[in-house]
Amino acid sequence: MLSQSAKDGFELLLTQSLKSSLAPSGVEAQISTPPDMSDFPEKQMVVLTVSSYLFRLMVMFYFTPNAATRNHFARLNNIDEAEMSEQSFMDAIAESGNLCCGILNRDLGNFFPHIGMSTPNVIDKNCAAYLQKLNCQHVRHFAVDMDGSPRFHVSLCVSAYADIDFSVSAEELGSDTGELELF
Amino acid sequence: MAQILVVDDSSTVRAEVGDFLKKNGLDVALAVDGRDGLTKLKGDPSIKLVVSDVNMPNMDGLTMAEKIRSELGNANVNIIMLTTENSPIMKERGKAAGIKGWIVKPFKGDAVLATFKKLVGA
Repeated sequence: MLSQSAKDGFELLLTQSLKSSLAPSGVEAQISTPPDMSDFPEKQMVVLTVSSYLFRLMVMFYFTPNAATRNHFARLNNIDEAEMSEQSFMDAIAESGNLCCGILNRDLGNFFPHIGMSTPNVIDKNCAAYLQKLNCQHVRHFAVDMDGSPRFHVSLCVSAYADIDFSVSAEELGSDTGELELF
Repeated sequence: MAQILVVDDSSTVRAEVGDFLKKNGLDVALAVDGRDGLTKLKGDPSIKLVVSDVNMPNMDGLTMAEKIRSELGNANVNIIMLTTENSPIMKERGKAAGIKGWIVKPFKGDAVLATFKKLVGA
């Protein structure tokens, strides 16, 4: 039901949005695709859903709430780490997932106009063991490496309710974020 | 007394945008959603610019913009949306409510600071 082009398209769009949302200013994210998630050491995950009546796409951002992760999200958001409360730390992680899926949602909207996304939910990473119950047609795992930050892992799970075929290339993806469009 | 009101349900975004603007010499007030934004704006006539997210609980940013013009009768305050949304339909609704501009997240302060200062007369 999912064409190879559509699978590639979902992966490319997620990869691009991860680079935009997870990397601090001036840092480039390197993304690789581990074959499975057996080595993922993280303890928790942020789950978001982007869906239309044609498909449901779940994205899991795995993290461990430790000093290295705190340092990364403080750096990412230009916040003084010493002033980061536990609540603002969790909010920063959730907001990164929100931003990533917001970009994904926006870009997929070019192909699927009736699309929406969930709010982020933080759950125990052990819940990932039940992902197979969703009968996803496409699952891909990603490892995100950035200078000065711990490695993060992300999973993409796509369930299709109809034949899905679209094509997107890296050259087509604009980078119009952050600019003020005046009316 | 503030020059800019930042409205976002994410404390991370409020801190990031608010701290950046303060470090650059602007007085900033913060609100957690559209309803809070309306209250803060009503109570502080010195606010010249509202920078708001779109998707928020209780009241979204576009509804807040419409109510600023209709319920508060404030036709002068500048409103800029800061959001991951980029749909033409939403932008048209914003334009109809008299918003001044649209920024697609992530926030890049250096790209907008000069315009923000101009809009508040700083």
